[in-house]
Amino acid sequence: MNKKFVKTKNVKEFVGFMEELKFLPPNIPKIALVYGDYGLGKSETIKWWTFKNDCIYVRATKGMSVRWLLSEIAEELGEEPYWHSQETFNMIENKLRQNPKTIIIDEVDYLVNNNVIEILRDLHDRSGCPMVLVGMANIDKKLSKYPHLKDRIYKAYKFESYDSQDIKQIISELSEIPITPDGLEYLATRQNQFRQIVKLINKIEKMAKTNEIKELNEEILRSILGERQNITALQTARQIYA
Amino acid sequence: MKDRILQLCKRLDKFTLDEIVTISEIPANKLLPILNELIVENKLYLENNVYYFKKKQNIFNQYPIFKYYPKTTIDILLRCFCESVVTTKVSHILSIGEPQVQKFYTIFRTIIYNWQKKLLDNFYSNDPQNARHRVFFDKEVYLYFYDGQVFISKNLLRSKKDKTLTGQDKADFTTIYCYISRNLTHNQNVHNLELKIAEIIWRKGKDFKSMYADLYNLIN
Repeated sequence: MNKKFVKTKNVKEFVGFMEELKFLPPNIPKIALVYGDYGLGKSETIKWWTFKNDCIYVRATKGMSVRWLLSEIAEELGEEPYWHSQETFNMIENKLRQNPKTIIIDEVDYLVNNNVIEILRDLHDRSGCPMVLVGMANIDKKLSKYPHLKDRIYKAYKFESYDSQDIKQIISELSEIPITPDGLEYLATRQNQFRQIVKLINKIEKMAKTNEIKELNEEILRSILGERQNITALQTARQIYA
Repeated sequence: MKDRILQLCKRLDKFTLDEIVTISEIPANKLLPILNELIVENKLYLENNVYYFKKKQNIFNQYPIFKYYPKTTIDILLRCFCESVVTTKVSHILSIGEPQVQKFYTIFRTIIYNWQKKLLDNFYSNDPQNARHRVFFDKEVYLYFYDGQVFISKNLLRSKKDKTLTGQDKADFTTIYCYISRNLTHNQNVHNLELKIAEIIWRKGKDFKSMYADLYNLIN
C-alpha cells in the first residue's frame, strides 16, 4: 500500500477553514468546532495539519482534570507546569500573548461531562488565540448546555461521509496495484470509512500479489472479495437440485 | 526538523514508520535516521516495529517542590547554592521559608550524589576496585578512586575481581581525602553525610560558572 496522505474533500475544506480562522479580526471570537462521525479521518487530518503549522495540540482523555489539561498545554509550549493550576494558567496566558498560536483540542467530548471545557473558554478569552475543538458527531448538541461557549463559536465544520468520488480517490492513491474504473466503481460501494477502506485495500493487495494479478477489474475484485458472480446460474443449479 | 518530528512523535504517542511517513509526508529514508537518533537520545523506543514516545522523567516530576516556585526563584536558589550562600540568607533574599531552602539544597545535593554514583557504578562495573573505608562522625562511608577523582557510595560495592590501588593512585587519593576531611570538620555535616561528601568532591577545583552549568544541566 502506498504511504500517502490522501487529500480528500474534507481535508481540503478543513485547510481552508483553518486559514479563515487564522486571519479573523481580533473583535470576532475565534473558537471553532470540528466534528463528524468516526472513521472519517478527523484526527489524522488534524495531526497532519498540526505538523505543517506551529500550533498547540492536546488530545483529551477520559478523566482529564483542569490541572491535567493545563499541564498538557504548558508542555506543548515547552514549559514546565506549576503545581497550582492558577499559576500554570497565567504562564500559558503570558506565553500565548507573547507568541499567539492556534490551540487544538482533540476528543473534546471527554471535557464536556466534567465541565473542564470551561477553562478553554477562559483561555480563549484571555489569550485571544484561535481555538479548535474537535469532537464526535453529536458534540454540537453536547455543547448546547454551555450557551456562553456556544455563543463564542465562530463556525462549525462537519466532516462529511465520503462520497464515491472520495472513496475512488483514496483507493486509487493508496493501492499499489492499478484498478480499472469499473473496479473502482464497484469498490466505492463496499466501504465508506477510512479504516475499513484501508483494510479492504490491504486484503485486495495481498490476494492480488499471491495470484500475481497486474490489474484489478470488477470481475476479479468480486471474486477476491468472495461474492458470487452469477446469481442466476446459482438459482438454476438450486432448481436442478430441488 | 528534528524538533518538529519529536513533537509529532509525542502527538502520535505510538506509531509505525508507515504512519509517521504518511502524516509527515517525509520520505522514509530521510525520516529513519532522525528516528534512530531519537532512540539513541532515549526519547523514543522501538518494539515490534512500533515506535513509542517516552515521556520525559525530569527533576520537576521527581520533586514536586520545583512546581511551587517560578523559574526565576529556582535559578536564584541554584546560584546561591553554587556560591555556598547559607540557607538563612537565601530565605531572606527570596522571602521564602528556610526549611524550603534547605529542602532545595538537599535536593541539589541528592542530584549531585546520584549523578556521581551513576558514574561510579559505571567505572566499577568495568574495573572493580577495593573500597577505601573511612569514618566521619562515627559513620562509615566507602570511597573509590577512578580517573583522578574520588567517588562516594553509602553502600559497599563488592566483587570477587576487586583490585587494589597503585602507589600513585593511593597518594592522589590521600590528597583528596585530606581535602574532604578539612571541609567536613563542622558537625553540622553529620546529617546526610554522603550527600555532603559528594558535594565537597563536586565543588573541588570548580568556579561558579562551571558549578552553575553542571547543576543547571542536571536539573533540566
